[in-house]
Amino acid sequence: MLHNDNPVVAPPGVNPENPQAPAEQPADTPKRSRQAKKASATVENIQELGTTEIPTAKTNIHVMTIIGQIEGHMVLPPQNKTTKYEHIMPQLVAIEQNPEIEGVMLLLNTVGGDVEAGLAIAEMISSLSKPSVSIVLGGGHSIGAPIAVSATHSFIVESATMTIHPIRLTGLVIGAQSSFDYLEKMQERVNKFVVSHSRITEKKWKELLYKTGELSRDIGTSVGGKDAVHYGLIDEIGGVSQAMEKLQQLVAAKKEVKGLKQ
Amino acid sequence: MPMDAVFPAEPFEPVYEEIEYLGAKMIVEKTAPDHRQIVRIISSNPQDYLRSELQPGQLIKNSRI
Repeated sequence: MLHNDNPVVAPPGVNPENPQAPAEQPADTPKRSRQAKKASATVENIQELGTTEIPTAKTNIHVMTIIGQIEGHMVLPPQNKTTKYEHIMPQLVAIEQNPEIEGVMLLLNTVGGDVEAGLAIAEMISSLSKPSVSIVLGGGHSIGAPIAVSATHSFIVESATMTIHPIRLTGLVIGAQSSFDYLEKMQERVNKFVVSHSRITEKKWKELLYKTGELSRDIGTSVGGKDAVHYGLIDEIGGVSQAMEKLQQLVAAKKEVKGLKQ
Repeated sequence: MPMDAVFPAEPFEPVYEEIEYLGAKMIVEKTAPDHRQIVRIISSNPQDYLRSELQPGQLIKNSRI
């Protein structure tokens, strides 16, 4: 065997992870039967994972996490933790289409982000035929609010907060008047969505939206868990067990209605 | 003048990729030419998050992708 001075690169034919172990089998030869291939995969599983096969439990509830920034048309630098709508949208379509999935749980801990991407996700969730439950954990700020209320039933933990503030724009603005009108229309879309999907009145929502003196650098309000329920923005205080129980109830109720129809 | 000030270290930017592995979509970091490390699973199936071979931090050999 050749002498190898480089500690990083293993000499040829030696497994770099475990030099004592015999070299890995070369790529599958056409002679090997399918069974042999399967057996080697099992051996590989035992070697690498310490188990033969992981039993896949079927679940009728799927979970979606809306975390970090909601990414829209602009791709954020890789250091940012983002929720991308190109991930969420197809998943929602798959959930709607798959008959084995009966409910969706949404976990929110977001600072907000792209208004249109957020509204798109919220509209997708609200138009699902399957029951959904959301839990706001940590924070459900800005455009996270419409997503939180888009579920059939919404929960918030007591320690979570939701920052309610008007839409803002950064960067170069061309045509101040038309941009302002556009922004106002966009705000109106958000207002309409939140008011129609929660118990909050338009008056109260706008009051929270335009309050001054509450946030240090912005107008708006930081609403705590209890207040969010008090204002009617969120349905209930609760964590994962309450949310799961509610979701199971909604799923059972939906099954019953379906049974009556048939 | 310290050398660090003259030649500041280049900011480390991890290279992320989106792949499908063992039936689940995930974001992986390219840690070595022949290794990827799982950063985050993108799946709505909660059972995928319990699979030990899909835990974040697991290394995947290129030959297994």
